Parts: sequence; structure tokens; C-alpha cells
Amino acid sequence: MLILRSALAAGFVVFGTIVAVRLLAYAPQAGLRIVPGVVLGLAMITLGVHRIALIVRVWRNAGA
Amino acid sequence: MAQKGIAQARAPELRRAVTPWGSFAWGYSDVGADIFIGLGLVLAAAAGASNVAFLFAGIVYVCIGLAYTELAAAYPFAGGGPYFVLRGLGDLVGFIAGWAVLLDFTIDITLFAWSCVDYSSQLLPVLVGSVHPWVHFLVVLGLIVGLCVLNIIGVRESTAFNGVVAALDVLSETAILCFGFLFAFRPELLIHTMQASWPSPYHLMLGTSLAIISFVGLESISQAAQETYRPASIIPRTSVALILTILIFALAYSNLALGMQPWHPIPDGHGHYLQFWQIFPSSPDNQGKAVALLAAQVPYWGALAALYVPVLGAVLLLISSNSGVFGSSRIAYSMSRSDLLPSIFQRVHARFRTPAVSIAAFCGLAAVTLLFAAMPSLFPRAMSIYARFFHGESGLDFLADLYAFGAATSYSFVFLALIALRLIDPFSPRKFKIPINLPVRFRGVQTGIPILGILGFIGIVSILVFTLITHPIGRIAGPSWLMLGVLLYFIYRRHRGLPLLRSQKHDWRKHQIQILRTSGDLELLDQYVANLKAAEDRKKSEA
Repeated sequence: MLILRSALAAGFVVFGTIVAVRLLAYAPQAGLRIVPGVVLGLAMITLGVHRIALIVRVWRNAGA
Repeated sequence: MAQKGIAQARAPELRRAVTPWGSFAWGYSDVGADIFIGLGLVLAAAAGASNVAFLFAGIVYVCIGLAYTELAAAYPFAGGGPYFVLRGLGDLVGFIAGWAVLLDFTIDITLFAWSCVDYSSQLLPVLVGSVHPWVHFLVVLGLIVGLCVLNIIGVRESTAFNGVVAALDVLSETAILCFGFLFAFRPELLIHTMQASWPSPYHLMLGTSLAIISFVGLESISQAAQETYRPASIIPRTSVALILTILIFALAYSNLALGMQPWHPIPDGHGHYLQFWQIFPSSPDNQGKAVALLAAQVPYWGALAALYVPVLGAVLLLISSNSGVFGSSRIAYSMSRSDLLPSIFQRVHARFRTPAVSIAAFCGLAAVTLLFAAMPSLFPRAMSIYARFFHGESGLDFLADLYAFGAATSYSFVFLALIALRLIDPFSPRKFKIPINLPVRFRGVQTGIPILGILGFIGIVSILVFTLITHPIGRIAGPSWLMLGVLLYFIYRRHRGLPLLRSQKHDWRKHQIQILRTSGDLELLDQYVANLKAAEDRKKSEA
């Protein structure tokens, strides 16, 4: 279960990065219009990192 | 409330059996359903700026979520926002906050039952509101009556059921968004839509005020706190995940809706093809089932999603409608026990041991709002009255107006309570604190003013102002509801010989010790007692 949750969390980080980068590529011509999409990407990365941090803590506790 | 709360706590208590996932699922089944309603309404109102409307409301929602997380972890008592406001700002303001939440929960019953039928209509065309208004009305009414009966006889959906539905929905929405962003999303189309279809400032304000309804239901975080073991540790963990998940789904759906190439071209009847979001402004039927329509337009997965998303959406919306019945009756019951509402609301059914009067009263009120919302479609002659007084708003718009008003009002008070409690109760240990605080000394004690709390308050008040400017029904019915409540409050308090403007005496310290003791967070209890002792020693030495 932890492996599945880790994969999902990593997926969020990767997916968020893809969304943010795809929108950032349009920054020169679109200006601030990319902001909602970039925030979406950053929120995905934050959620993924938050979940990974919790999973790592569980793993460490299990090891200890 | 404190004394009675303690008295209740000595009676049989709520069992602390909610796990981290249970805590997440409880919140998700409440807040997660909101996007199913909010998406279509916001796309219809804010057009090419829908994602901006969701972003603004989403940022305010993150602040609200953090405020609820701090308060629920510090005061793990199942009273929700009204309880925090009562503690922070006193009886009268606590009553107003509770009364606004009651409006929200009552509208919640009707709005979610209405949308549940809209989503079902995707598979059962006989339920389409514009084609069969009486069938639609009677089915929604049937759902409200059914939920009322189930709640009176004491049947509740279990946490396990909530957990399964929440898990299925998270997986389903993630799959829809993955397929949508990978195969149908075109950033250049999103930017073109935002440039070509940017709304007027009025419609942007309208869209933003509607976007907040996609983030309503955070009460459940604090409602679940009293049934969560070691809430101070578990709630911050699950809340952060919940807040981010809901924010991601709202932003993802709105960006995808504006920038997706529909899998099946949508003709407009004049030989042109529509963009996906353009199917919403002219069709209230579509607005009520936006997520199901979007899911069906996603490449590959859409063929399957078209079949199950309406069912999953309808189930999630029905759970949310039920949480409206449960929440309104329990808050009325709790306010009645605190001498804020007449004692009739705490009458418990002799056989089923449920607050039957409260349940029946708020379901009855929900049925009345349903009648008002459905009137123009049931009796077309009534349309002229609605056109004259309410800009012709009816149906989903009518309910969303009131929902947005109730949410913005109650959330505003929660921010004030957060700031007030930081000042007047710095002794309660806060295992989770909103980040970014301005250090201040108040009554000789070092504490911090939450900057994000102040920014959130400004944000939610601006959404409240947008609601009052752009929602003709919210502007009239919302403040009328509050004024009626305050009038009833004064009559009741005068009748009972209780202070009208001042609060009754509450022993909050004793109450806090009681709730920390029952929460299982014993180190926090020790810390609280030590903080109180240190403050008293300091006072003595200064004297």
C-alpha cells in the first residue's frame, strides 16, 4: 500500500512539473494568464512532496 | 455552552474511532462534491476567466482551511465554526455565525439534492429539469423527505462508506485529469480563450463569488475532530492533504475546461464548432452536471467515464446533501443547548434518540427553498415576478446565491475568531499554527497575529461584497435571514432573562481541560496546565 501511495505521490510531482513547464513555455506571449495553470502545477508538486514526506516518516518509524 | 459541554462530556461521549484516512474521507465527501456544482456555474458566469475566479477563491480557501486546521487541532470539539466564534467573540456573534452556517447547511440540503438529480439526468433523460420540471421537482423533494426520515430514524452513512466513495472519486478525478491534460489540453487554446472571452468586471465578480461554493464544507474538519483520536496530530496532516487536493481539482477542471479540445466536436447549430466551456452559459441543465460532461469529452477514458461519473457524482452529492441534514440539525441542537436557540430544537425523539424536531424543521425549510427555486419552471407565470425582483434568477442560481452568501459570512467570522483567540487564549497549545505571524504582546503575554488570517479575512470579505453586488437574491434574502435570526435571538434571550448583547459566563479553561483530556492528547493537556500556571505565577509576581 505504501508503494502504491508513493507512486501516486511521485506521479503528482511529475505531473505538476509537466503542467507548470508546459504553461511556463508560453510566459513571453501570455504574461499573467499562465498564473492559474502554473499555480495548479505548483499545488500538485506541493501535494506530492507533502505525501512523500509523510511516507518517508512512516518508513523511518517502521525501520526504527 | 462550556458548562453544558462539560456536562455532556460526562454523559456518553462520541467514540474516537476516526483514522487519518477516515478524517480525510469525511472532509472530502463534504468539500469534494462542491466542484460538481461549482464548475458549471462559474464557467457560465466568468467564461474565459473561470480559472482566475477559481484561483482567487482557492487562495482564500487555503487561508480558511489553514484557519480551520489550527482551530480544530487546538479546540477538538464538535461545534465547528460557531463554537470557535462563540469562544472568541461571545454569544451574540457566535449566534450570528451559527445562524449563517444554518443557512448554508439548509441550502446545502436542497442544492446538493438538486444537483444529484441533475447528474442522474445524464443517464436518465426523464430527470432533465427543463424538459420535465415536475418530475425533477418531485424527485428532489423525494430525496429531501427521504433523507429527513433516514436521519430521524438515525441511519447515517458510515465512515467506511464515505472512505470508499472518496477513494473512488479521487482515483476517478485523477484519471480524468491525467487523460485530459495528456491528450486534450492545449495551453495555446487556454491562453486564446482567456484573451478572447475575458468577462466584464461584473461577471468576473459573479464568477468569483460562485467559485467559493466549490470550497464549502470545511466545517466537517472540526466536526470530525471530536471523533478523531489524537486530533492535534492527525488533523493537520489530513487537512493539508485535503486542502491541496480540493484546490488542485478546482484549478485543474477550470484550466482543462477552458483549454481542452473536445474529443467529440460540439456543433452549435450554425455549422460552427463550440469550445467545451461554451455549452454552459445558455443551458442551466448543463451547468448542473458539468463534471460529467467534461469527463465524457476526455479522450480514451471518456467513454468509460461517461457511464460511471454521473453515478459517482450523484452518490457524492447525495452524501453531501445528507451532511446538510445532519449538520443543520446538530448545530441547531448544539445552539439550543447553549441558550442561543429555543429549547424545542433540542427535543430528542423518544424512540430513535435523534433531534427529530431540528431535523424536520430544517428539512422543511429546505423544501420551502426548493419550491422558491423551482417555482418559475413549475409555474411559468411566476417568471415575470422573478424577472422583476430577482433578475430572473431561479433554479440552481437561486440556491447558489444563498449558499455563497452563507459561506462567505460564516467564514468571515471564523477568521475574526482565529485572530481573537490568538489574543485572548494564548495558553491553549497549538500543535499546528498558520505560518507567517506578526509577534505582539497582549495583556503581558507574547503571542502572534496570523498575517494569512488577516489576508484571508480581506479576501473573504471581498467575496462577500462581490456576492452582495452580483447576487440579487443573496443581497435580499441573505441579510434578511441574518436580521430575522438576530430578532429571534433578542426575543428569546429577553424571554429567558439572559443578557442581550453581553455573553453569559463561560468557564472556557475548565472546558478546554475537559476536551484535551478526552482527546487523548495528554501532553497537550500538561502543556496547557503548565501555561496557565506560569501565567498565574507571573501575575502574582507582578502584583
